[in-house]
Amino acid sequence: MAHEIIMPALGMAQETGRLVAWLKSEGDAVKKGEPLMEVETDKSTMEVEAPKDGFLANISAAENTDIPVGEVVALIVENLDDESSKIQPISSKTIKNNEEKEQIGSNIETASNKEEIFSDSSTPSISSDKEIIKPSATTEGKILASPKLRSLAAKEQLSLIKLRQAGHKEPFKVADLPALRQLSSQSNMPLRNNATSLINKSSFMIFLLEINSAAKLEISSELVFVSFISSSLRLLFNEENIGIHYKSGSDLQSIFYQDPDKYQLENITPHDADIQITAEVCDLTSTDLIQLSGEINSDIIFTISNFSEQFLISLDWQPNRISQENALVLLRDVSSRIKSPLKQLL
Amino acid sequence: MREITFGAAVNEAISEEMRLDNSIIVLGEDVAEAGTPFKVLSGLVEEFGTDRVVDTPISEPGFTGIAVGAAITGLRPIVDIMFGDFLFLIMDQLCNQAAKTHYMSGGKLSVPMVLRTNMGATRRSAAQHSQSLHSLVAHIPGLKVAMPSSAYEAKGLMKTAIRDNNPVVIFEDKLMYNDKAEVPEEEYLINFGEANILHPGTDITLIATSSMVQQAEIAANTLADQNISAEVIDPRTISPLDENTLINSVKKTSHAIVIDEGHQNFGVTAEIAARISEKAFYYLDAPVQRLGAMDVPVPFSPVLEDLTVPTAQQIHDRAVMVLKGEI
Repeated sequence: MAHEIIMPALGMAQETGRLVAWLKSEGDAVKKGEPLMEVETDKSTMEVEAPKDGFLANISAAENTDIPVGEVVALIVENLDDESSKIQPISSKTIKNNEEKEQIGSNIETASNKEEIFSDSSTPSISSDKEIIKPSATTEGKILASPKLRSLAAKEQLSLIKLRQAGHKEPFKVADLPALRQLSSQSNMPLRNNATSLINKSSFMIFLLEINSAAKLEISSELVFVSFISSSLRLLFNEENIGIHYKSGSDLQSIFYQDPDKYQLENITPHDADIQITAEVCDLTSTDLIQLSGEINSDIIFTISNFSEQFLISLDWQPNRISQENALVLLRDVSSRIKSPLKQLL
Repeated sequence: MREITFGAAVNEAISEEMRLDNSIIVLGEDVAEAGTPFKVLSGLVEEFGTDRVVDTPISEPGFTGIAVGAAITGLRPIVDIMFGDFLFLIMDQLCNQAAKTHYMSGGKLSVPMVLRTNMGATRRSAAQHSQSLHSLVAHIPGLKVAMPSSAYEAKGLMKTAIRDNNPVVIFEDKLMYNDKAEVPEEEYLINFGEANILHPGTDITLIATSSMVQQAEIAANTLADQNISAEVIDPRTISPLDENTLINSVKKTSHAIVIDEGHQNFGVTAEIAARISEKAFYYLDAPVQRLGAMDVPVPFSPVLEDLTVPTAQQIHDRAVMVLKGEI
């Protein structure tokens, strides 16, 4: 394999170098490090050494001539009849400023060369890829969102949790704003979480019959339901006021109750509609229906329906109002009250 | 308009100013007879003589110290530090003396000195002749730092530097000396601390210095092919830094990449990214990205050396990632 000897660049802005003398002749055996030729620049004169063992061949530059920097002036070959010694020296890549700069100027080419060199790497450069922080998708903990989206959402009073609930990819950016606006404008957003329990209703029915016949009252199942549910809600939320929006029948007629659990069953009376609603109670026990979706205005909805000799008690909730754990506590509490109503009054 | 090279623009700026003001002198290694290794100062000694264009011994601390003294006592020296890498030799003269004399003399003394030096890798000059050390200088209060990005900028900034009564360090990218640009024949100055918006855009701000401005412009053009509108801004001087122009641009685009040929760690990219985070945080839609030189000594191997410097392709790719939300 032939090795090219080029005119070296010895100065900073050097275009050519003067070949003063050949110190070896064509065909001479040379050892690595032996001086081959003497070169002069505007600064100094120096000797160029053989880069490897071999024979000097193909001398293409005469003594006392100016040679462009980077040009091949001879070859070092392994043996004299080497075929490669007959190869015409190609104009090699020089380190001339201009050419170099042009290459760098149109760096897209340079970069694609790099890709070839590092063909096992999918990125064009290994340089700063390590510093790129890619967001990891999370579905819990702090919501990841850009500062700009946060400030815009805050201005419009939009809650970023809606994007997470709808399964959008985090971090959220301004591009997610239209989706966030749409999610927020859906006033009757379907409740996403649901749990249902099934309880024997015989104790409840006997209880209702007995208190009505013994005390000569006319207490409906409605009052017992809202009272029990109100108690359970108060236990969970520990709030001053519990408002119940009670709907019943297939036409979902509305009645409102404020703190019904604070009164004796026979003293519970409906309230005006202007109360703060804690939960809705959808009573379908007078119908054959099991589930009926009407307009949904609250975060917690109980649906009570008949299921052969049992009550089906279904709870729908908004996860940003109560956690699943608390929702299950609430459902269990309401179910156990309705299942054993006497225990509640004692 | 006529086009001249970056090197010729520097030469023209210095000669014009020397004709106007006899107190201006040039000193450094090989500045007179050789006209510097890059031939930038060729012809100066012939016009102004060896009293005003002085070849010094190879002692950077020595002749920089002479220049600081000369500046304090009435001359306006232009010091030539052959390679930016040699700045380490003159840290005391530059940072302890030149930078602080005006302050410590209660304003009685000033150091109207210009220090020209260079920066930039990919010249196969190895680790001790390829560094871009401008952020070291910009760190010191009392020093101004200019980073011309073209022949036009080089001339205007050099003339402003010579007329400034404070020490100014100008970093010229040694690979740009032969790059040509339109330079008017009539006199002009470029004010320090006024960034240049080369390429207005709306989607992403590319803040680039020196030779990286060219790369950012190439990237802005390839991004435009993909319907991405990039704004390219050249701060021109990193000290003083035109923060307002940068911040206002980022407020508009909400995305930014800072590109500079100095090492990324603790460098210009870090400083500008930090300022954006401080002043435009609530306008950002993605983390500010930095593209600086790799934090390694510059390799001599051409293949490796090219990998250490940001390229137009990298800027393009990073911009696409930022805007696609992949970062």
